Amino acid sequence: MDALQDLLMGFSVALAPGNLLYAFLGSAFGTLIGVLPGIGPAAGTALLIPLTARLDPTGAIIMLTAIFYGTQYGGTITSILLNVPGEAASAITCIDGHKMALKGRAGAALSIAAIGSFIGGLFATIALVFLAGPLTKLALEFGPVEFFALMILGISLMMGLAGKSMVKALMMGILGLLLAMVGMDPVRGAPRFTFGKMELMDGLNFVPVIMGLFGLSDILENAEESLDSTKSAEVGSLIPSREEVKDSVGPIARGSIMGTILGLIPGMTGSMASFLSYSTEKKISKHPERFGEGAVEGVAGPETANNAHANGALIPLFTLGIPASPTVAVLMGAFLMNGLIPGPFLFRENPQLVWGVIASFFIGNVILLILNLPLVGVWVKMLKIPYSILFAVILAFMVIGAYGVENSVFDVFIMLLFGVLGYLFKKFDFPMAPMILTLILGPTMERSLRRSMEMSQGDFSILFASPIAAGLLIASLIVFVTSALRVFLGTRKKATSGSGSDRK
Amino acid sequence: MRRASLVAGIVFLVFSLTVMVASWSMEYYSSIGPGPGFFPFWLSLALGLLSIAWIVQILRSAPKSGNKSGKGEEEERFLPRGTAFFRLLSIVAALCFMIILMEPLGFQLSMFAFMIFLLVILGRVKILTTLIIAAGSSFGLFQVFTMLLDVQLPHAAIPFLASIGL
Repeated sequence: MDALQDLLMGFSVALAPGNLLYAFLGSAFGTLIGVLPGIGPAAGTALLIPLTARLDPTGAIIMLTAIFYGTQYGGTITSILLNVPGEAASAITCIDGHKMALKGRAGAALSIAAIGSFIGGLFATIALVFLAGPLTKLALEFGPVEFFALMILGISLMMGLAGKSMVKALMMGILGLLLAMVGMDPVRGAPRFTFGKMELMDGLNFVPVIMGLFGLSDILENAEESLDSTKSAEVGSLIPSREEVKDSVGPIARGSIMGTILGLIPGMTGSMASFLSYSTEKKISKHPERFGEGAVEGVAGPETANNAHANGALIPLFTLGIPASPTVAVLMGAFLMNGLIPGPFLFRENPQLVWGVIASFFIGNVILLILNLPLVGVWVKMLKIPYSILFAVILAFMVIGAYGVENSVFDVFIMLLFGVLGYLFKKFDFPMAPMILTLILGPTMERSLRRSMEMSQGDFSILFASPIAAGLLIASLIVFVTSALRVFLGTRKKATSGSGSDRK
Repeated sequence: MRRASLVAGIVFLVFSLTVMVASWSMEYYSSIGPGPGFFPFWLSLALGLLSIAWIVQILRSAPKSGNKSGKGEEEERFLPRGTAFFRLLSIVAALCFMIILMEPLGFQLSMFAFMIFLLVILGRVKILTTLIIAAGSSFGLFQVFTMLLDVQLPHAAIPFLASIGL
C-alpha cells in the first residue's frame, strides 16, 4: 500500500521532538480557545498565526491544524458544564450535555464526548489517508479552467446552503472577492484600490481581517450585555456507566461517518454536522422522549460528528486546495503565508510536509484525548476567570496578533475596521463565511480564470470546452437555481398565506 | 431596524458604484485577455444589482403591522442604548487611541494604559488585580514576544521613553 508507506514516512516527520511539541502546543491552544467563550476557532487560529511565523513550515502547519481540531474538543467542556457553547459546533451538546451535568453525570458526558471526538477525528483522518491518492490523481488532471470551475462549485454550495438569506450570502461572497482585489493584480502586477498606501500593495492581510470579523465583533457584541461571570457545574466521576457506554456506540459510529462525509462538502459547517447527528439520533432512538432530559446519545453523536467534520474538512483542502469552511480558509491562508499552495502539487513537491502533517493528526488526537480526560480539571479552572478580565486579555492578544503578522500598526487599524464591520454585519444577519472563503480564494480564482482566458484568447467558451469543467459549472448552476427557487417559492408561499414579513 | 437596513442597502449600492467607477480607470481588456479592471467591473456590477434586490426586499416586507409609523417603542432597536452603547463605543475608542499612541509611546506604555482603561472602566475589576494584569499584558507580553517568539513589538518613538527601554 502506497498510502501506508507514505503515512509511515509522515510519522517519522511528525514524531520528531520539535514537531511533537508543536502538536502538543497546538492541541493545548486549541482546547483553550474552545473553552474560552470569547473567541471562536476562526479568530483563534488567525490569532495564533503570528506565533508560528518564525517556525519552519511543517511545524507551523502542524500547530495550526492542531489548534483547529483542538477547538472542537474544548468547545464541549463549556457546553456541558456551563450550558454555554465554547464554539458553534458544540451548541447542540448543551441540550443533553448540560442536563447530564445537572444530574451529576458531567464527568461521564465529558468522557463520552472526548472518546467520541477521538474516534471521529481518527476515522476522518484515516479517510484522508486513503482518499489522498485517488483525489490528488484526479486533481492533477485539472488545468486552470477546471480549478476555476471547482472553486465556483465550492462557493455556490456555500451560498446555496445559506438558505433564505441567499441574496445576503451572495453580497458577502462578492464583497470578499472585491476585497481580494486590493493590492497588485495577480497577472499584470498593476496596483488596484490601494489608495496610494504602501501597506496595501500586497493586498489586505487576511489575519487582521479575520480577527476583526470573527473575534473583535464577538467582543463588541458581548459588550452589549453586562460582563457577568457564570457558575460551573461540578465534574464528578469521569467514568461512564456500562449503560452509557452501550448507548454511545451507535451514535459514535454514525457520527464518524456522517461528519466525515459532510466535511468533504464545501459549505457544510461543523454545526450542521453536529445538528444533523443530533436529529438523526433522536429520530432513530427507541426512546426519543429521553432527548432533552440528559440522553448520552445526544452528546456522543454530535460531538463525534463535529470532530469528524473538522478532520474531514481538511480532505478537500489537502487534496484539491479548496477550503470548505471559514476556519479551513484561515488554515489555507496560513499555508499560503508559508509559501505553500495546498492541493495536489503539494503531495508531489513536498510529501514530507503533507504526510508529516497528516500523521500529526493521529498524534494530535491522542494528545487531545489526554488533555481532555485526565486533565479536564485544568480547563475547568480556566472557566473561573471572569469575562470582565478575559475580554481585555483577549483584546491585548488580538492587538499583538494583528500587529505581529507584518509588524505594522496599519494592520491593527484594519482589525478594528473589520471588527466594527463584522459587528454591523451580525446586526443585519449577513453571513460572514462566504466573505472569508472568497477573500482567501479570490486571487487564485482570478488567476485561474484570467489564465484560462489567455489560453483561449478571451473566448469564454473555453470554460465549457472540457467535460470536467462543464460538469462542475453545470452542477454549480443546478445548486444555485434550485436553492434560489426554493427561497423564491418559500417566500411566495408565505406571502400568500397571510403575514408578509419573514424577518423579526 | 428596517430603516437601518435601508441605509445599509444604500451604503452597499454606493460602495459598488464607487468600485465600478474606479475600475473604469483600469485596463479592462488587453491583447492577452482580461486586464486588471475586468474582474472588479463585473463584480461591482453584480454587487450593485444585489444591493438593489436587497433594498427591494426590505421595501416589500411590510413594516410592523398596526404600528404608527416612526420609532415605536416595540420596534427592535438597531443599536443598543445607554450603558451598553457606552461600553461598545469605549472599546472602539480605546482601540483607536491604542493605534494612535502605539508608535509614539511604544507598545508597553500604550498597552498598559489600554488595559487599565478596559479593566477599570469597563470590567470594574479591583485595582490591584487590574495593575497586575495590565502590567503582565503590556510589559510581560512585550518581553515574551520580543525575546522568545521573535515578534518585534514597537518601541517608543519619543527618545526619552526609548532610552529607558519603553
